[in-house]
Amino acid sequence: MIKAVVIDDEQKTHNIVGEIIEKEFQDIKIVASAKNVTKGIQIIQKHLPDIVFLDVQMPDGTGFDLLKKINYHNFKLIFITAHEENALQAIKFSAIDFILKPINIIDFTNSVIEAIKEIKQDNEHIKIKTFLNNIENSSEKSRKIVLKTTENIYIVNIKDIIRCESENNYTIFFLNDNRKILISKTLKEYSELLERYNFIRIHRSHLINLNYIERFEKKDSGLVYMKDKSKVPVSFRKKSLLLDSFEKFLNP
Amino acid sequence: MKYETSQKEQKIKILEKNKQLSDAKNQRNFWLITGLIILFILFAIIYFLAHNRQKLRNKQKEIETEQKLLRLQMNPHFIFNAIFAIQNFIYENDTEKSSLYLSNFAKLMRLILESSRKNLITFQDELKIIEYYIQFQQLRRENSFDYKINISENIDTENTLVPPMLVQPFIENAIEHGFEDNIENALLKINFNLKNNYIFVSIEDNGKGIKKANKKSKHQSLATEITEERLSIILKTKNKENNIKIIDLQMIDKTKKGTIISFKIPFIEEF
Repeated sequence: MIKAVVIDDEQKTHNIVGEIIEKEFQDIKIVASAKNVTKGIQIIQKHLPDIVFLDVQMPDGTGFDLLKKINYHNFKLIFITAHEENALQAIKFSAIDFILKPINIIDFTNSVIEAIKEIKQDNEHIKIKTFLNNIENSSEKSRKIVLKTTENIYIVNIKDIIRCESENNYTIFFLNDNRKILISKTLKEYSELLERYNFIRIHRSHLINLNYIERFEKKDSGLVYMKDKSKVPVSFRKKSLLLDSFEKFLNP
Repeated sequence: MKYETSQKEQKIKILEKNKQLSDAKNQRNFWLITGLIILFILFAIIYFLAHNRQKLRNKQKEIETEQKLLRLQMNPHFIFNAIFAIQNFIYENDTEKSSLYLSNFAKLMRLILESSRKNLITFQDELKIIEYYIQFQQLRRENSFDYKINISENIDTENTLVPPMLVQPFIENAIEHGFEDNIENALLKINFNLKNNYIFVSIEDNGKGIKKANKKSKHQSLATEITEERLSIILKTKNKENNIKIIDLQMIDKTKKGTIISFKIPFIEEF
Protein backbone atom coordinates (compact mmCIF):
# COMPACT_ATOMS: atom_id res chain seq x y z
CA MET A 1 0.00 0.00 0.00
CA ILE A 2 1.29 3.45 -0.95
CA LYS A 3 0.59 6.16 1.58
CA ALA A 4 -0.34 9.64 0.34
CA VAL A 5 -1.27 12.92 2.01
CA VAL A 6 -2.95 15.99 0.55
CA ILE A 7 -2.08 19.45 1.89
CA ASP A 8 -4.13 22.28 0.41
CA ASP A 9 -6.31 24.97 1.94
CA GLU A 10 -9.10 24.40 -0.55
CA GLN A 11 -11.59 21.63 0.10
CA LYS A 12 -12.07 21.29 -3.67
CA THR A 13 -8.57 19.92 -4.12
CA HIS A 14 -9.19 17.30 -1.43
CA ASN A 15 -12.40 16.23 -3.12
CA ILE A 16 -10.96 16.00 -6.62
CA VAL A 17 -7.66 14.33 -5.68
CA GLY A 18 -9.49 11.94 -3.37
CA GLU A 19 -11.95 10.98 -6.04
CA ILE A 20 -9.39 10.42 -8.79
CA ILE A 21 -7.10 8.38 -6.50
CA GLU A 22 -9.98 6.24 -5.32
CA LYS A 23 -11.15 5.59 -8.86
CA GLU A 24 -7.86 5.09 -10.66
CA PHE A 25 -5.33 3.91 -8.09
CA GLN A 26 -6.44 1.11 -5.83
CA ASP A 27 -3.00 0.67 -4.28
CA ILE A 28 -2.77 4.28 -3.08
CA LYS A 29 -4.43 5.33 0.13
CA ILE A 30 -4.82 8.91 1.30
CA VAL A 31 -3.92 8.43 4.95
CA ALA A 32 -4.35 12.03 6.07
CA SER A 33 -5.03 15.53 4.84
CA ALA A 34 -4.40 19.06 6.02
CA LYS A 35 -5.52 22.57 5.13
CA ASN A 36 -2.61 24.57 6.45
CA VAL A 37 1.15 24.41 6.94
CA THR A 38 1.11 23.64 10.69
CA LYS A 39 -1.24 20.71 10.33
CA GLY A 40 0.61 19.60 7.20
CA ILE A 41 3.89 19.29 9.10
CA GLN A 42 2.15 17.21 11.76
CA ILE A 43 0.63 14.72 9.36
CA ILE A 44 3.87 14.26 7.40
CA GLN A 45 5.82 13.60 10.59
CA LYS A 46 3.19 11.24 11.88
CA HIS A 47 2.49 9.19 8.75
CA LEU A 48 5.81 9.37 6.84
CA PRO A 49 3.94 9.27 3.52
CA ASP A 50 5.25 8.05 0.14
CA ILE A 51 3.52 10.77 -1.86
CA VAL A 52 2.75 14.33 -0.80
CA PHE A 53 0.37 16.52 -2.80
CA LEU A 54 1.27 20.03 -1.76
CA ASP A 55 -0.32 23.41 -2.42
CA VAL A 56 1.90 26.49 -2.81
CA GLN A 57 -0.19 29.23 -1.16
CA MET A 58 -1.84 28.53 2.17
CA PRO A 59 -3.16 30.92 4.84
CA ASP A 60 -0.38 30.37 7.40
CA GLY A 61 2.50 30.08 4.93
CA THR A 62 3.58 28.42 1.72
CA GLY A 63 4.30 24.86 0.76
CA PHE A 64 7.94 25.93 0.65
CA ASP A 65 7.83 26.93 4.32
CA LEU A 66 6.46 23.53 5.11
CA LEU A 67 9.33 21.78 3.33
CA LYS A 68 11.84 23.92 5.18
CA LYS A 69 10.39 23.03 8.55
CA ILE A 70 10.48 19.26 8.20
CA ASN A 71 13.52 17.03 8.20
CA TYR A 72 11.88 14.04 6.62
CA HIS A 73 11.96 14.53 2.85
CA ASN A 74 11.84 10.98 1.64
CA PHE A 75 8.62 11.22 -0.24
CA LYS A 76 7.61 11.85 -3.81
CA LEU A 77 6.47 15.46 -3.95
CA ILE A 78 3.85 16.76 -6.34
CA PHE A 79 3.01 20.44 -6.19
CA ILE A 80 -0.50 21.55 -6.97
CA THR A 81 -0.63 25.16 -8.08
CA ALA A 82 -2.81 27.55 -10.04
CA HIS A 83 -0.50 30.09 -11.55
CA GLU A 84 2.38 31.34 -9.37
CA GLU A 85 5.00 31.94 -12.03
CA ASN A 86 8.00 32.37 -9.75
CA ALA A 87 7.13 29.26 -7.84
CA LEU A 88 6.88 27.28 -11.06
CA GLN A 89 10.32 28.47 -12.08
CA ALA A 90 11.91 27.13 -8.90
CA ILE A 91 9.95 23.90 -9.15
CA LYS A 92 11.13 23.30 -12.71
CA PHE A 93 14.77 23.87 -11.75
CA SER A 94 14.55 21.06 -9.22
CA ALA A 95 12.79 18.67 -11.59
CA ILE A 96 9.97 18.36 -9.08
CA ASP A 97 6.61 17.43 -10.50
CA PHE A 98 3.67 19.80 -10.47
CA ILE A 99 0.02 19.78 -11.46
CA LEU A 100 -1.86 22.87 -12.52
CA LYS A 101 -5.32 23.80 -11.29
CA PRO A 102 -7.94 23.14 -12.53
CA ILE A 103 -6.76 19.57 -12.35
CA ASN A 104 -6.73 17.73 -15.63
CA ILE A 105 -7.47 14.08 -14.94
CA ILE A 106 -5.09 12.86 -17.65
CA ASP A 107 -2.16 14.97 -16.45
CA PHE A 108 -2.87 14.04 -12.87
CA THR A 109 -2.99 10.34 -13.61
CA ASN A 110 0.28 10.51 -15.56
CA SER A 111 1.99 12.34 -12.71
CA VAL A 112 0.86 9.77 -10.19
CA ILE A 113 1.94 6.84 -12.39
CA GLU A 114 5.35 8.49 -12.68
CA ALA A 115 5.41 9.07 -8.93
CA ILE A 116 4.74 5.40 -8.17
CA LYS A 117 7.67 4.44 -10.40
CA GLU A 118 9.97 6.88 -8.68
CA ILE A 119 9.10 6.03 -5.10
CA LYS A 120 11.43 3.07 -5.29
CA GLN A 121 14.36 5.10 -6.53
CA ASP A 122 14.77 6.81 -3.19
CA ASN A 123 16.19 10.09 -4.47
CA GLU A 124 13.37 12.53 -3.91
CA HIS A 125 15.07 14.15 -0.94
CA ILE A 126 17.85 15.31 -3.30
CA LYS A 127 15.39 17.22 -5.46
CA ILE A 128 13.70 18.77 -2.44
CA LYS A 129 17.06 19.79 -0.98
CA THR A 130 18.02 21.48 -4.24
CA PHE A 131 14.66 23.15 -4.39
CA LEU A 132 15.11 24.54 -0.87
CA ASN A 133 18.61 25.71 -1.71
CA ASN A 134 17.32 27.58 -4.72
CA ILE A 135 14.51 29.39 -2.99
CA GLU A 136 16.65 30.27 0.06
CA ASN A 137 19.70 31.54 -1.80
CA SER A 138 18.73 34.47 -3.87
CA SER A 139 22.32 34.91 -5.03
CA GLU A 140 22.67 33.66 -8.55
CA LYS A 141 26.02 32.07 -7.91
CA SER A 142 24.64 29.28 -5.79
CA ARG A 143 21.70 28.41 -8.05
CA LYS A 144 21.50 24.74 -8.84
CA ILE A 145 19.63 22.66 -11.34
CA VAL A 146 18.58 19.02 -11.10
CA LEU A 147 19.33 16.87 -14.12
CA LYS A 148 17.60 13.53 -14.13
CA THR A 149 18.65 10.59 -16.28
CA THR A 150 17.15 7.13 -16.10
CA GLU A 151 19.91 5.90 -13.82
CA ASN A 152 21.13 8.99 -12.03
CA ILE A 153 20.12 12.28 -10.61
CA TYR A 154 22.68 15.09 -10.85
CA ILE A 155 22.69 18.36 -8.99
CA VAL A 156 24.64 20.89 -10.98
CA ASN A 157 25.64 24.44 -10.14
CA ILE A 158 24.34 26.60 -12.93
CA LYS A 159 27.65 28.48 -12.99
CA ASP A 160 29.43 25.19 -13.76
CA ILE A 161 27.58 24.60 -17.00
CA ILE A 162 29.71 25.64 -19.95
CA ARG A 163 27.22 24.89 -22.67
CA CYS A 164 24.40 22.61 -23.81
CA GLU A 165 24.03 20.92 -27.13
CA SER A 166 20.94 19.31 -28.56
CA GLU A 167 20.86 15.92 -30.08
CA ASN A 168 17.42 15.09 -31.44
CA ASN A 169 15.18 15.28 -28.41
CA TYR A 170 18.05 15.03 -25.97
CA THR A 171 20.28 17.66 -24.46
CA ILE A 172 23.95 17.16 -23.64
CA PHE A 173 25.32 19.24 -20.78
CA PHE A 174 29.03 20.09 -20.87
CA LEU A 175 30.30 20.92 -17.40
CA ASN A 176 33.49 22.66 -16.34
CA ASP A 177 34.89 19.47 -14.80
CA ASN A 178 34.76 17.85 -18.26
CA ARG A 179 31.69 15.83 -17.44
CA LYS A 180 29.04 15.32 -20.09
CA ILE A 181 25.46 14.54 -19.07
CA LEU A 182 22.79 13.43 -21.50
CA ILE A 183 19.22 14.34 -20.53
CA SER A 184 16.05 13.34 -22.31
CA LYS A 185 14.56 16.81 -22.54
CA THR A 186 14.69 19.28 -25.41
CA LEU A 187 17.16 22.15 -25.59
CA LYS A 188 14.19 24.51 -25.87
CA GLU A 189 13.04 23.66 -22.36
CA TYR A 190 16.48 24.31 -20.90
CA SER A 191 17.04 27.48 -22.86
CA GLU A 192 13.79 28.85 -21.44
CA LEU A 193 14.96 27.98 -17.91
CA LEU A 194 18.55 29.15 -18.22
CA GLU A 195 18.17 32.32 -20.29
CA ARG A 196 17.96 34.48 -17.18
CA TYR A 197 21.34 33.19 -16.01
CA ASN A 198 23.47 34.58 -18.84
CA PHE A 199 22.79 31.69 -21.14
CA ILE A 200 22.01 32.39 -24.74
CA ARG A 201 20.88 30.17 -27.54
CA ILE A 202 23.15 31.14 -30.39
CA HIS A 203 22.27 28.26 -32.64
CA ARG A 204 19.47 25.83 -33.10
CA SER A 205 21.51 23.14 -31.33
CA HIS A 206 23.62 25.25 -29.00
CA LEU A 207 22.99 27.04 -25.74
CA ILE A 208 26.06 28.68 -24.23
CA ASN A 209 26.99 30.26 -20.91
CA LEU A 210 28.36 33.76 -21.61
CA ASN A 211 30.73 33.35 -18.66
CA TYR A 212 32.69 30.76 -20.59
CA ILE A 213 33.28 32.61 -23.83
CA GLU A 214 36.95 32.92 -24.54
CA ARG A 215 36.88 34.49 -27.97
CA PHE A 216 34.37 35.40 -30.64
CA GLU A 217 35.45 35.15 -34.22
CA LYS A 218 33.35 37.60 -36.19
CA LYS A 219 33.98 36.45 -39.71
CA ASP A 220 31.12 34.83 -41.61
CA SER A 221 28.25 34.22 -39.27
CA GLY A 222 30.61 33.76 -36.37
CA LEU A 223 32.26 31.14 -34.23
CA VAL A 224 32.53 31.14 -30.48
CA TYR A 225 35.58 29.65 -28.78
CA MET A 226 34.68 28.47 -25.31
CA LYS A 227 37.09 28.20 -22.39
CA ASP A 228 37.01 24.41 -22.60
CA LYS A 229 38.49 24.72 -26.10
CA SER A 230 35.25 23.78 -27.82
CA LYS A 231 34.08 25.74 -30.84
CA VAL A 232 30.42 26.62 -31.18
CA PRO A 233 28.88 27.91 -34.42
CA VAL A 234 26.65 30.98 -34.34
CA SER A 235 23.53 31.01 -36.42
CA PHE A 236 23.60 33.99 -38.74
CA ARG A 237 20.27 35.24 -37.41
CA LYS A 238 21.58 35.19 -33.86
CA LYS A 239 24.85 37.01 -34.42
CA SER A 240 23.60 40.46 -33.45
CA LEU A 241 21.75 39.03 -30.45
CA LEU A 242 24.97 37.43 -29.27
CA LEU A 243 26.94 40.64 -29.73
CA ASP A 244 24.31 42.65 -27.85
CA SER A 245 24.08 40.15 -25.02
CA PHE A 246 27.83 39.92 -24.74
CA GLU A 247 28.07 43.70 -24.61
CA LYS A 248 25.45 43.83 -21.86
CA PHE A 249 27.14 41.02 -20.03
CA LEU A 250 30.50 42.83 -20.04
CA ASN A 251 29.06 46.24 -19.13
CA PRO A 252 25.96 45.58 -17.12
CA MET B 1 60.55 102.39 -69.48
CA LYS B 2 57.62 104.32 -68.17
CA TYR B 3 55.43 102.34 -70.45
CA GLU B 4 56.82 99.16 -69.02
CA THR B 5 56.20 100.31 -65.49
CA SER B 6 52.70 101.30 -66.23
CA GLN B 7 52.23 97.99 -67.95
CA LYS B 8 53.55 96.22 -64.87
CA GLU B 9 51.38 98.34 -62.67
CA GLN B 10 48.47 97.49 -64.83
CA LYS B 11 49.37 93.83 -64.58
CA ILE B 12 49.56 94.11 -60.84
CA LYS B 13 46.26 95.85 -60.84
CA ILE B 14 44.75 93.16 -62.96
CA LEU B 15 46.26 90.53 -60.75
CA GLU B 16 44.97 92.31 -57.69
CA LYS B 17 41.59 92.61 -59.24
CA ASN B 18 41.67 88.97 -60.12
CA LYS B 19 42.68 88.16 -56.58
CA GLN B 20 39.87 90.28 -55.27
CA LEU B 21 37.53 88.58 -57.65
CA SER B 22 38.71 85.14 -56.70
CA ASP B 23 38.61 86.14 -53.04
CA ALA B 24 35.06 87.21 -53.49
CA LYS B 25 34.42 84.01 -55.35
CA ASN B 26 36.05 82.03 -52.62
CA GLN B 27 34.06 83.85 -50.06
CA ARG B 28 30.94 83.17 -52.03
CA ASN B 29 31.89 79.55 -52.36
CA PHE B 30 32.58 79.38 -48.67
CA TRP B 31 29.16 80.74 -47.85
CA LEU B 32 27.60 78.50 -50.42
CA ILE B 33 29.24 75.41 -48.98
CA THR B 34 28.48 76.44 -45.41
CA GLY B 35 24.92 77.12 -46.43
CA LEU B 36 24.68 73.75 -48.09
CA ILE B 37 26.16 72.01 -45.07
CA ILE B 38 23.76 73.80 -42.75
CA LEU B 39 20.91 72.96 -45.06
CA PHE B 40 22.04 69.38 -45.19
CA ILE B 41 22.30 69.12 -41.40
CA LEU B 42 18.89 70.72 -41.11
CA PHE B 43 17.44 68.21 -43.53
CA ALA B 44 19.15 65.39 -41.72
CA ILE B 45 17.69 66.56 -38.42
CA ILE B 46 14.23 66.93 -39.91
CA TYR B 47 14.47 63.55 -41.56
CA PHE B 48 15.71 61.99 -38.35
CA LEU B 49 12.92 63.55 -36.32
CA ALA B 50 10.26 62.63 -38.85
CA HIS B 51 11.65 59.13 -39.10
CA ASN B 52 11.66 58.78 -35.35
CA ARG B 53 8.15 60.06 -35.14
CA GLN B 54 7.04 57.65 -37.80
CA LYS B 55 8.77 54.86 -35.91
CA LEU B 56 7.05 55.90 -32.72
CA ARG B 57 3.75 56.10 -34.52
CA ASN B 58 4.27 52.64 -35.98
CA LYS B 59 5.18 51.31 -32.55
CA GLN B 60 2.06 52.83 -31.09
CA LYS B 61 -0.03 51.35 -33.84
CA GLU B 62 1.51 48.00 -33.14
CA ILE B 63 0.68 48.28 -29.46
CA GLU B 64 -2.88 49.28 -30.21
CA THR B 65 -3.33 46.36 -32.54
CA GLU B 66 -1.86 44.06 -29.97
CA GLN B 67 -4.37 45.26 -27.44
CA LYS B 68 -7.17 44.75 -29.89
CA LEU B 69 -5.83 41.29 -30.53
CA LEU B 70 -5.90 40.55 -26.85
CA ARG B 71 -9.49 41.64 -26.67
CA LEU B 72 -10.30 39.52 -29.66
CA GLN B 73 -8.72 36.46 -28.13
CA MET B 74 -10.66 37.03 -25.02
CA ASN B 75 -13.80 37.07 -27.08
CA PRO B 76 -16.40 37.01 -24.32
CA HIS B 77 -18.70 35.08 -26.59
CA PHE B 78 -16.25 32.23 -26.66
CA ILE B 79 -15.62 32.25 -22.92
CA PHE B 80 -19.27 32.29 -21.98
CA ASN B 81 -20.06 29.61 -24.48
CA ALA B 82 -17.43 27.46 -22.85
CA ILE B 83 -18.76 28.10 -19.38
CA PHE B 84 -22.28 27.46 -20.56
CA ALA B 85 -21.20 24.13 -22.02
CA ILE B 86 -19.70 23.16 -18.68
CA GLN B 87 -22.92 24.07 -16.96
CA ASN B 88 -24.71 21.81 -19.38
CA PHE B 89 -22.48 18.86 -18.53
CA ILE B 90 -23.07 19.52 -14.84
CA TYR B 91 -26.81 19.38 -15.37
CA GLU B 92 -26.36 16.12 -17.19
CA ASN B 93 -24.39 14.88 -14.17
CA ASP B 94 -21.45 14.08 -16.37
CA THR B 95 -18.66 14.78 -13.90
CA GLU B 96 -15.86 13.38 -15.99
CA LYS B 97 -16.79 15.31 -19.08
CA SER B 98 -17.26 18.58 -17.25
CA SER B 99 -13.93 18.12 -15.52
CA LEU B 100 -12.05 17.25 -18.70
CA TYR B 101 -13.71 20.06 -20.59
CA LEU B 102 -12.88 22.56 -17.91
CA SER B 103 -9.23 21.61 -17.62
CA ASN B 104 -8.83 21.68 -21.40
CA PHE B 105 -10.33 25.13 -21.38
CA ALA B 106 -7.79 26.20 -18.75
CA LYS B 107 -4.93 24.73 -20.78
CA LEU B 108 -6.01 26.63 -23.86
CA MET B 109 -6.33 29.86 -21.87
CA ARG B 110 -2.83 29.42 -20.50
CA LEU B 111 -1.37 28.88 -23.96
CA ILE B 112 -3.19 31.89 -25.37
CA LEU B 113 -2.16 34.18 -22.53
CA GLU B 114 1.46 33.08 -22.75
CA SER B 115 1.67 33.53 -26.50
CA SER B 116 -0.14 36.85 -26.70
CA ARG B 117 2.69 38.53 -24.80
CA LYS B 118 5.05 37.73 -27.65
CA ASN B 119 5.32 39.17 -31.14
CA LEU B 120 6.40 35.88 -32.63
CA ILE B 121 6.04 32.31 -31.44
CA THR B 122 7.28 29.08 -32.96
CA PHE B 123 4.99 27.61 -35.57
CA GLN B 124 4.96 24.48 -33.43
CA ASP B 125 3.40 26.40 -30.52
CA GLU B 126 0.91 28.08 -32.83
CA LEU B 127 -0.16 24.68 -34.12
CA LYS B 128 -0.59 23.49 -30.56
CA ILE B 129 -2.99 26.36 -29.86
CA ILE B 130 -4.91 25.63 -33.04
CA GLU B 131 -5.24 21.94 -32.26
CA TYR B 132 -6.23 22.54 -28.63
CA TYR B 133 -8.77 25.07 -29.76
CA ILE B 134 -10.30 22.80 -32.39
CA GLN B 135 -10.38 19.78 -30.08
CA PHE B 136 -11.97 21.91 -27.43
CA GLN B 137 -14.64 23.00 -29.89
CA GLN B 138 -15.15 19.40 -30.95
CA LEU B 139 -15.77 18.41 -27.37
CA ARG B 140 -18.24 21.22 -27.00
CA ARG B 141 -20.05 20.33 -30.21
CA GLU B 142 -19.80 16.62 -29.56
CA ASN B 143 -17.60 15.90 -32.58
CA SER B 144 -20.10 17.31 -35.03
CA PHE B 145 -17.26 18.24 -37.37
CA ASP B 146 -13.90 16.91 -38.51
CA TYR B 147 -10.69 18.75 -39.23
CA LYS B 148 -7.53 18.38 -41.25
CA ILE B 149 -4.35 20.39 -40.97
CA ASN B 150 -1.95 20.24 -43.91
CA ILE B 151 1.53 21.64 -43.60
CA SER B 152 3.80 21.61 -46.61
CA GLU B 153 6.88 19.50 -46.04
CA ASN B 154 9.31 22.34 -46.54
CA ILE B 155 8.19 24.01 -43.32
CA ASP B 156 10.28 23.09 -40.31
CA THR B 157 7.74 23.84 -37.56
CA GLU B 158 10.32 24.03 -34.78
CA ASN B 159 12.46 26.61 -36.52
CA THR B 160 9.72 28.77 -38.03
CA LEU B 161 8.35 31.83 -36.27
CA VAL B 162 4.84 33.19 -36.78
CA PRO B 163 2.76 35.99 -35.22
CA PRO B 164 0.53 34.35 -32.60
CA MET B 165 -3.17 33.68 -33.03
CA LEU B 166 -3.58 34.85 -36.60
CA VAL B 167 -5.53 31.81 -37.70
CA GLN B 168 -7.67 31.16 -34.64
CA PRO B 169 -10.31 33.86 -35.26
CA PHE B 170 -11.06 32.40 -38.71
CA ILE B 171 -11.28 28.89 -37.31
CA GLU B 172 -13.66 30.21 -34.73
CA ASN B 173 -15.76 31.84 -37.45
CA ALA B 174 -15.83 28.67 -39.52
CA ILE B 175 -17.02 26.61 -36.56
CA GLU B 176 -19.34 29.12 -34.93
CA HIS B 177 -20.92 30.49 -38.09
CA GLY B 178 -20.13 28.14 -40.97
CA PHE B 179 -21.17 25.07 -39.00
CA GLU B 180 -23.87 26.89 -37.08
CA ASP B 181 -26.72 24.65 -38.19
CA ASN B 182 -25.30 21.17 -37.82
CA ILE B 183 -24.06 20.27 -41.26
CA GLU B 184 -23.46 16.72 -42.35
CA ASN B 185 -19.83 15.70 -42.92
CA ALA B 186 -18.74 19.09 -41.73
CA LEU B 187 -15.04 19.43 -42.46
CA LEU B 188 -12.60 22.14 -41.59
CA LYS B 189 -9.41 22.26 -43.63
CA ILE B 190 -6.42 24.38 -42.72
CA ASN B 191 -3.46 24.60 -45.08
CA PHE B 192 -0.02 26.04 -44.63
CA ASN B 193 2.10 26.28 -47.76
CA LEU B 194 5.59 27.66 -47.98
CA LYS B 195 6.38 29.37 -51.27
CA ASN B 196 8.69 32.28 -52.23
CA ASN B 197 9.48 33.08 -48.63
CA TYR B 198 5.84 33.39 -47.64
CA ILE B 199 3.60 31.01 -45.80
CA PHE B 200 0.25 30.88 -47.55
CA VAL B 201 -2.52 30.14 -45.09
CA SER B 202 -6.00 29.02 -46.01
CA ILE B 203 -8.94 28.09 -43.83
CA GLU B 204 -11.66 26.26 -45.66
CA ASP B 205 -14.99 24.97 -44.40
CA ASN B 206 -17.93 23.31 -46.11
CA GLY B 207 -20.46 25.17 -43.99
CA LYS B 208 -23.21 27.46 -45.05
CA GLY B 209 -20.97 30.06 -46.69
CA ILE B 210 -19.95 33.49 -45.55
CA LYS B 211 -22.61 35.37 -47.56
CA LYS B 212 -25.34 33.71 -45.55
CA ALA B 213 -23.47 33.68 -42.26
CA ASN B 214 -22.36 37.27 -42.47
CA LYS B 215 -25.81 38.72 -41.99
CA LYS B 216 -25.85 37.65 -38.41
CA SER B 217 -22.44 38.22 -37.00
CA LYS B 218 -20.50 41.28 -36.04
CA HIS B 219 -17.61 39.37 -34.54
CA GLN B 220 -16.79 37.92 -37.90
CA SER B 221 -16.05 41.27 -39.47
CA LEU B 222 -14.22 42.46 -36.39
CA ALA B 223 -11.91 39.47 -36.57
CA THR B 224 -11.25 40.13 -40.22
CA GLU B 225 -10.64 43.79 -39.62
CA ILE B 226 -8.14 43.27 -36.83
CA THR B 227 -6.34 40.55 -38.73
CA GLU B 228 -6.15 42.87 -41.76
CA GLU B 229 -4.60 45.49 -39.56
CA ARG B 230 -2.11 43.05 -38.09
CA LEU B 231 -1.20 41.74 -41.52
CA SER B 232 -0.60 45.23 -42.86
CA ILE B 233 1.87 45.82 -40.03
CA ILE B 234 3.54 42.46 -40.56
CA LEU B 235 3.66 42.67 -44.34
CA LYS B 236 4.26 46.44 -44.35
CA THR B 237 1.52 46.97 -46.90
CA LYS B 238 -0.53 50.14 -47.15
CA ASN B 239 -3.70 48.77 -48.58
CA LYS B 240 -4.95 46.60 -45.80
CA GLU B 241 -8.13 45.48 -47.57
CA ASN B 242 -6.09 43.34 -49.96
CA ASN B 243 -4.41 41.32 -47.25
CA ILE B 244 -7.17 38.77 -46.83
CA LYS B 245 -9.11 37.00 -49.53
CA ILE B 246 -12.55 35.78 -48.59
CA ILE B 247 -14.39 33.56 -51.01
CA ASP B 248 -17.87 32.13 -50.68
CA LEU B 249 -17.61 28.87 -52.58
CA GLN B 250 -21.19 29.03 -53.78
CA MET B 251 -20.38 32.22 -55.67
CA ILE B 252 -17.89 30.30 -57.81
CA ASP B 253 -19.55 26.94 -58.07
CA LYS B 254 -23.28 26.54 -57.42
CA THR B 255 -22.83 22.89 -56.39
CA LYS B 256 -20.39 23.79 -53.64
CA LYS B 257 -20.88 25.25 -50.22
CA GLY B 258 -18.57 26.86 -47.74
CA THR B 259 -16.00 29.56 -47.31
CA ILE B 260 -12.29 29.90 -48.00
CA ILE B 261 -10.24 32.50 -46.20
CA SER B 262 -6.67 32.95 -47.38
CA PHE B 263 -3.76 35.21 -46.59
CA LYS B 264 -0.01 35.13 -46.48
CA ILE B 265 2.55 35.78 -43.78
CA PRO B 266 6.28 36.23 -44.17
CA PHE B 267 8.39 33.15 -43.63
CA ILE B 268 10.70 33.77 -40.69
CA GLU B 269 13.24 31.29 -39.42
CA GLU B 270 14.49 31.44 -35.86
CA PHE B 271 18.03 30.14 -36.38
